[in-house]
Amino acid sequence: MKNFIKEGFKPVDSLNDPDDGHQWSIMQKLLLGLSPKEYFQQLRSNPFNWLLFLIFAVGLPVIVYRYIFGLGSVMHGSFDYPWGLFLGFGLFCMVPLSASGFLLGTTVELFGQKDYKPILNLALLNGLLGYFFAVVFLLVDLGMPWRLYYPMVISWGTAAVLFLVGWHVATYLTVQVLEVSESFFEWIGWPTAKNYIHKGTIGLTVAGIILSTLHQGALGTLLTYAPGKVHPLWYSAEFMWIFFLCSSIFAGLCMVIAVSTIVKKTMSWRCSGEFLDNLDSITIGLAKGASMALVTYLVIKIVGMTHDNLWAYLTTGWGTWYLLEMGLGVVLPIILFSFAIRNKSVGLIRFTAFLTIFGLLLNRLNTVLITFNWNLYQEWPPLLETIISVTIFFLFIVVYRFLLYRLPILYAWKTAPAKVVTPS
Amino acid sequence: MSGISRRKFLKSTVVAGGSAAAAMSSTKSFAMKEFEGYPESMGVLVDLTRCIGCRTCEAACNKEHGLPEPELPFDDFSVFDQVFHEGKQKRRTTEKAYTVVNRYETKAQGAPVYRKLQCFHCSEPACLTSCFVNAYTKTKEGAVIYNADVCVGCRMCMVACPFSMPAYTYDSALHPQIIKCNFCYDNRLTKGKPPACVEACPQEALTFGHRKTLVKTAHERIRSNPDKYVDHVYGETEVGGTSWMYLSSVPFDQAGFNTTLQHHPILDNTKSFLGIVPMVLGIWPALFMGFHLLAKGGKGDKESKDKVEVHGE
Amino acid sequence: MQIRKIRIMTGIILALFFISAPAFGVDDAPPTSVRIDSLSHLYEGVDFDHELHVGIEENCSVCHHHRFSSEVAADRCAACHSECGGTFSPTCSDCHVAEPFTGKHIRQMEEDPHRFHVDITGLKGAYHLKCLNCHIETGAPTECVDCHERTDAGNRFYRSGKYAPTGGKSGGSHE
Repeated sequence: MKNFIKEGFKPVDSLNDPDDGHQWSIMQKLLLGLSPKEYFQQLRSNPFNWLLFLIFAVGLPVIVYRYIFGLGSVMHGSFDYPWGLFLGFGLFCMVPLSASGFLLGTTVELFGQKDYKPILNLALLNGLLGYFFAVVFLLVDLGMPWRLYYPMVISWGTAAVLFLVGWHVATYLTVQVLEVSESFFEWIGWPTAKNYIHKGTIGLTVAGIILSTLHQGALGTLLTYAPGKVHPLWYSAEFMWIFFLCSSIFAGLCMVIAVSTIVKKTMSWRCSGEFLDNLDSITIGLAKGASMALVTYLVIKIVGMTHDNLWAYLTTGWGTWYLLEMGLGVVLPIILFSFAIRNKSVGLIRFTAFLTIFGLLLNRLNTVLITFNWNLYQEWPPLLETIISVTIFFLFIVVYRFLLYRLPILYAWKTAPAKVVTPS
Repeated sequence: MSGISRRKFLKSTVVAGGSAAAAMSSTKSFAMKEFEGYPESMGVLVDLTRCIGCRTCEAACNKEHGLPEPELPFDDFSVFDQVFHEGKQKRRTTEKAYTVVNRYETKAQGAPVYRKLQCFHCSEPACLTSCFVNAYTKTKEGAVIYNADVCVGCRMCMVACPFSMPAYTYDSALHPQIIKCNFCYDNRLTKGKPPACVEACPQEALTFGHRKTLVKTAHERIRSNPDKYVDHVYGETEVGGTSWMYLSSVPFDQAGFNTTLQHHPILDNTKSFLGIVPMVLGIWPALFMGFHLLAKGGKGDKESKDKVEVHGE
Repeated sequence: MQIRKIRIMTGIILALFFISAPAFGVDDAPPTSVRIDSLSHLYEGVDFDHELHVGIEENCSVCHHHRFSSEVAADRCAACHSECGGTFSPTCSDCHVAEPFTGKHIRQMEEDPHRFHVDITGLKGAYHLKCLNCHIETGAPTECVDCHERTDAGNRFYRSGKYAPTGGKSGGSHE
């Protein structure tokens, strides 16, 4: 693609072809204005696509295998470890990383911080895709995924925290689809629909933050069903939901930084000038928010540890592991962020964002998988389960890339030839 | 921000908040009062001083429920030597066995202790309270039974059960389900008969009766035989009380029991969060609308009217 | 003719007396062997060597703990029953019912406020607890089949002998 751009090619970014004024067809929009031959040429020449091909060639058959032969064929089928990577990574990790939607939505729409507007659409898309693929992971994990709608209409277990999570994810997905649909309607050429949705932005954003607060916390509360099974350092009877909510804040912000970094490195041709020019200052702003959330998280973790008198655990093996997680995932990022923000070192901020995400992944996996059943034997996910998880994650990346290439997320859609700015 | 009228934004907030509220209104815990349990609830008192590890209960359960053939005969006691996961775990309930008996060598006595393990049929079961499709029911007879017709297979109940009792038929592609002891509900409990295992036990290590009475019976046995029993009835208060309770001559942790369990129902752990849900639903809309109005206050109307909005509004 | 009738009558009466002597608590002739088979199903009945056991333990109330013609064996019982006279029936099933967990029996035990002995085992439990506790203590035989042979129904029940599983699948606890 970069080569095409170098030769002067401009991908579709408006309703009409600037060269001859005719309206792009859907097919042409999908192919970004390239001919099919050119499109496949750029597909083939991208080495990342070779990796994708390999992953899907191995992974997709394994996913089919899971459905034909049942969960036991790809998971350990353990009665002590009922959850593995599908939920441990797909749900518990991807959901906090997708907190970007409500965070940036609130920042831009509710707090009126228009400086962050260029990154809003990316944050919304990140949120939508993260939740959507959390549901995809769920469809792989459930014993009978065709019964996914059961807690909606068939039978209600209203006292269960999972009931709340299920309803929230469904409702929040709807909210996010509506929020991102503005970009979609713009792209497809239905401005009326877009304007209609836009009128509900405030309401959608408020709904988004209500739902997100609750289900980010609810995911933490799920672990309070198994108090003895999670290691005490990762568990808190009273504060589990606060820990999960607070960590989702810096996770979502860092995810935006991380994705925007990848986007800048790999598809800057798709980004508008406004996006690229403001990205650095936006990144610094996001980092400020993330570091405040990190400091808060560190403080409340210390409060939690004092509350439950967990200090003695720090001298054990698990304690060392905990200190490693907190050190790499919280303390070090705080230090690096503060240094980088003060010196406006955007590169260091970006590195620290990736480090923070790693810390968050470690925290969730520790809570749900690694320290789970710490009094029993240890169990590691088997190969096939890992393959499926990796495959679905790369499917997420592919869909992400597909949408970023086309929808006006990183660039602004032009509905008419660019106007000259005149004061009214 | 486009020129949205006050009426329109109020409407959209109410709709959004209202729909969220409607979806969530049923998640608040009902009254926060104590639940005393069903008075007619039956129970079983398992007296480990009587159990000799003959495994007749396992055989009776297998026959009663038409369970699959075991790997070894029920009178093969080499099963007591089986260990799994690098010696960290003895036999446990599986999709083929609702109950197992394990042997524990104890520090004090020469004779080993045998323990029958099965679903404890808790008074306020964690499986039931964690299930989002209401697949479990605590019947008034005391049995905790499972409905495979609504189960989705999320396995939350397996995470929640403090005894890790439920098994799952992972190998079924089309109809996996939870497998666990159902207190012989369908064929016996509802017909006034004791469970198959209770009836079969030659040593009457299993005493069947109303749970309330069994608690008294257990304490009376302890009182009458102070040297014979540890002064504790396991399951009387653990996780809010279970229908299957135990008496032992050795400290319970030496007989494979988890003695670190909380003494109130697992459900209670979630109440502090679930109580907050309607609070957030009530407070967040006004709170964040307030932030919004404050943020908009100074600059709202002036912005954007002069510039061309590239987004085409 | 009259004398013959009288002799016959006396003979009959005497015979009846001696036959029924045990019923009158005359315990100078306890049975040498007792067939215990009222519950047999998975196992054959027990041919209990009563004479042997009488030789081991002379105090009848060690086993027949409801029978107080001899010295009360347990301290706990003596607390209330030390002065009690003998009862006639040595039969376990008079107090230990075959089905202790029917609704009726449970209610009987639970609802009578004047009943003292409420934690009474059923018959099968009484046999095994009484016999095995002593057998374990004294090193006597404790295997099930030492006292009663397994029936064919029993073998099928335990999946033993010719009914043993042939599957050969591995793994008890699901891996």
